[in-house]
Amino acid sequence: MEQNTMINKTNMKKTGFKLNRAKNDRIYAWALTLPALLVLAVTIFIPMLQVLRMSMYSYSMFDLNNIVWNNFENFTSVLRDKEFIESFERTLLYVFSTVIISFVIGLLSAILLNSPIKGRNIFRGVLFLPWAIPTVVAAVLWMWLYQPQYGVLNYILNQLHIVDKNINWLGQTNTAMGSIVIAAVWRQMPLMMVMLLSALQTVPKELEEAAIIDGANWFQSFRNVTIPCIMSVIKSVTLTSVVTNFQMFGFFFTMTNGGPVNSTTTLTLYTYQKAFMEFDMGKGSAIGVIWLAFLIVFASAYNKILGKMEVNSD
Amino acid sequence: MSNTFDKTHGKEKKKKGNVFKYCILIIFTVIFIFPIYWMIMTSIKTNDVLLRLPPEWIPVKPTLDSFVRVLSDLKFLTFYKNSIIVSAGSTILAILLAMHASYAFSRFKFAGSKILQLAFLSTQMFPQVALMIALYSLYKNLGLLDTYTALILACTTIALPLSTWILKGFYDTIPTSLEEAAAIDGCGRYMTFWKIIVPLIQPGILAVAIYAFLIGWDDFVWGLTLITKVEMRTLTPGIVLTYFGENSYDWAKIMTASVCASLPVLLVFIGLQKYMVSGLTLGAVKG
Repeated sequence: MEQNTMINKTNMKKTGFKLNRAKNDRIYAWALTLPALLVLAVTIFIPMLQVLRMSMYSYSMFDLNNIVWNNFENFTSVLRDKEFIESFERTLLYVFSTVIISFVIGLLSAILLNSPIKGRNIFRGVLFLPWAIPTVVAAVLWMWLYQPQYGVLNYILNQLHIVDKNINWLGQTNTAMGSIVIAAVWRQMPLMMVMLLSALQTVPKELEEAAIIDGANWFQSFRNVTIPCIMSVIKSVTLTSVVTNFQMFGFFFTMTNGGPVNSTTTLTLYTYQKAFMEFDMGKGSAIGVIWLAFLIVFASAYNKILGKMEVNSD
Repeated sequence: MSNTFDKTHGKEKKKKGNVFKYCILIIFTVIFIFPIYWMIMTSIKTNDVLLRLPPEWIPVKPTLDSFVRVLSDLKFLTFYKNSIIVSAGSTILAILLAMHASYAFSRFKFAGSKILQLAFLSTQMFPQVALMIALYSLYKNLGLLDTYTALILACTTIALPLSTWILKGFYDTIPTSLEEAAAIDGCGRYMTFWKIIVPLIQPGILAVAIYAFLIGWDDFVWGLTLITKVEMRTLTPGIVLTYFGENSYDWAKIMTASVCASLPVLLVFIGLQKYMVSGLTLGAVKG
């Protein structure tokens, strides 16, 4: 009997200690995250709430005394705006072609670099370099390559008889977007490749070999063993790439500034024009809110669909 | 008999496969490195050579004229200084913030930690141009427009999500028994973190440092909008607004400014690339 209470007592002491410790842990953990959280609050969360509020009001820089609730008029007028719909479509075109092309080239190079060939570190090192070039410098550099009269691209294509006259790559509505996509792929593929290569190196070799022994060809083994093992990385690199390319500003602002005839006006440039050239903050904010909502829905759907194909390699 | 035939046949096939692999890799490498090569070659030619066709693949008379023109320009040096201050400042801040936050995410499963991590990662989704609408007036009221602080904060925010993620991966590889042992030795919690754990994740910190520095160096949107004074401008808006606007036809000068803006970072990057790769592997892939 006495022994029992003793045990109970120590038990109680232990749980009491544990509770205290759990509480301590919680406070300690919050204290560690607090500085980062404060910075994010100032630069992201509070401004976003402000944007959300502004999107509900008629808010023009020219008429600051007349800021009134306007019954979602910003949203309805944006959604009815043909220019908005078109720039949204152009953004989707730019984002998905850039991400898909970068992914395909990145995966192909990663697979080649993952096989036992000589000099793979040198190849990897050189292919990784464009990522260290600032976006704006890459934009200016590609403008020089695309230059209609003296640009080296037109010269090479002329020599190879692929084109018979100089093309104004960034000055024509049908080539401008594609030209920007190529420059963006050049700058972004390297990071994609390095991430995918790192992922491929974590796939257990025995699994791939076992599949081959079981009679699968390389392609089947790749599809059914390798891809599921690296799915979580594929998911995160492509999603990050989609989200950051939605933000792309440097290439468009520098290379075409939206032209010719708006053929490269994406959401960023459109919002920039509405908010900082026409000073319609309400409308600019509404675009931002729609944009964020779209990305949240897209990201959760994407995670869900690709998550199903994921296999834990551990 | 047929066995040896198969073997040599297989070897030959493998050899052919390797030749094919090399071909593709060499083509990719040439395509991806050519623009950088061309940027450097253009910077050591004069403008009248540039307007000649066929182009000189290797400059016949290389000259450093454009470098003298760019580097003797005080404006350019000011842009350079500003970029270094902003990138270095945001790198240090990003490391300090990510180091603490990711430690909490790695070690403690506290109420709301999942949501908090999600909030950290989701900040990349928030449209910067729209945030700028609110940030512009906020910073104006706080007197932060045209300051390094504004730019450092903005660049830190962009680098923070992935930095936190990378470092969490590094903390996850360190056994908790280390902290327990230190606690028994009477070492305080924060002291343990700072003196024992942080030195162990140095490779991760180096990877984050390279990443955050490149993010700061790459910034354009914030430098363009939060800075209005020419003497506070950073390199990327500097090249576009000052150089590009004034010398649209002076390609030698523009390419020289581009080389100056990217070569130092490129050299550091070449030297430290392997840390960056291992950091991304450990942090982003396993984490």
